[in-house]
Amino acid sequence: MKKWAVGLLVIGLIVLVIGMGIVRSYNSLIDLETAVDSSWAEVENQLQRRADLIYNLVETVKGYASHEERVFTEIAEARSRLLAAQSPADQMAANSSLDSALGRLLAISEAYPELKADASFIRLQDELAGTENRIATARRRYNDAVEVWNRTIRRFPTVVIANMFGKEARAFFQASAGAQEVPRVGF
Amino acid sequence: MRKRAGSLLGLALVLIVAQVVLAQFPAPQGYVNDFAQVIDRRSLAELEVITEQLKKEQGIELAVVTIQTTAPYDPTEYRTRLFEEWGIGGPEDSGLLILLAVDERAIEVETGYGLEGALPDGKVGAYLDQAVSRYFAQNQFGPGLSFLAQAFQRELAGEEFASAEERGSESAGDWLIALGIFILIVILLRRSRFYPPGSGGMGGGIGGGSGRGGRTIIVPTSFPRSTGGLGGGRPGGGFGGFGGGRSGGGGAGRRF
Repeated sequence: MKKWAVGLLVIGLIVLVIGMGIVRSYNSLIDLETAVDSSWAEVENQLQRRADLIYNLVETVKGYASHEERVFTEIAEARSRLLAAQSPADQMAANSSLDSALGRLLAISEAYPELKADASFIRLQDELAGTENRIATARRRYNDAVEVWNRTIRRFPTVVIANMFGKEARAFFQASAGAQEVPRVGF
Repeated sequence: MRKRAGSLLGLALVLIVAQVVLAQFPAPQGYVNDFAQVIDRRSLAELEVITEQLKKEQGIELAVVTIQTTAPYDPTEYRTRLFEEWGIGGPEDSGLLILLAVDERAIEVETGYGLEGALPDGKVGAYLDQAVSRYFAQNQFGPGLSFLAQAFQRELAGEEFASAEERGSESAGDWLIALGIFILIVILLRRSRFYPPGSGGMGGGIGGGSGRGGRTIIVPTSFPRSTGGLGGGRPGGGFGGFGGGRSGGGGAGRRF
């Protein structure tokens, strides 16, 4: 009676500790995964916001430079590709073509002094620059979250739990070459 | 013995983290931080009054910072990181940062999430244009900063935010439950006739176990982002730190 009762209790205790460890690891994995997902959502959010701003910017530019049809079409195409893109990879590709079209639009606007002095054009450029910085920030936070996530699911003992529940490594978000140059309003 | 080694390790970790942080960003000394020493006395007094008012009356934390250089970051990235580092703003992210970098000749403003509605980037940019042409281009740094602070105070009139308050740690409850279970088991074991209270081995062993469990995870989970503690723990007296507000990179900047 004595010994097996104590033995049982000790085994019970060990099982309890291990069980709690699993629950704790699992919960922390879920927290990290949620952090990755929500930081990606923020990136998407800001890309969307940027696409909308660019649309407004185009409308303003049209008021002064209505004959620059080609660049307007390019932007419209890139923008609709971005809005239709499903996977992060597609979004990135569409985003970089939007970047280069935007670069041309801003280059064109240099030739129109009245446009450059337009209050709403200046405001939109500020909103755009702010959004570029928001995208950069959201991207950095997403990559930080991914780094923690990828490290955690490869480490012991969380690697066991991660494999058990089929958790996989996530891809980093690499900036497209053009996206790093934040358009500036020069004075 | 083991316990002491563990806490020493913990302390070392905290010190390393603190040093890495301090090496890149200075600690806040108040709402107005004239690190580059370019603000004249009168503007300094005006800025102190405005920041105090914003904090007391509206729960808005406005940080004004001058710095010699933002290297290795560019001024825009520096302002976002500094905002993040200091946690400017109350629980409703009511923070605002005005940063002047002397070497880069840059004036940058970062708005916390809670102020993005009242101070959209375009509006901030318009005020920056005015401040640049009237003051910064003539190297009148103090009056320029004071002009901006006053303009933002006017724009934010009527906005009210909750002040910084204690945010409870969720992990504490979790650990209390775990501790409760351990204590229950210890009591159950002690109750069993075969190990009367006070008898050797078993009780000691379990006591050690629970101590160890209590120590391990609670330390790391409590320090990321608990900015209240960060501010309070820093040397330099008086200033209790910011309220842990966040920003997403919104705002505007100019070179002059």
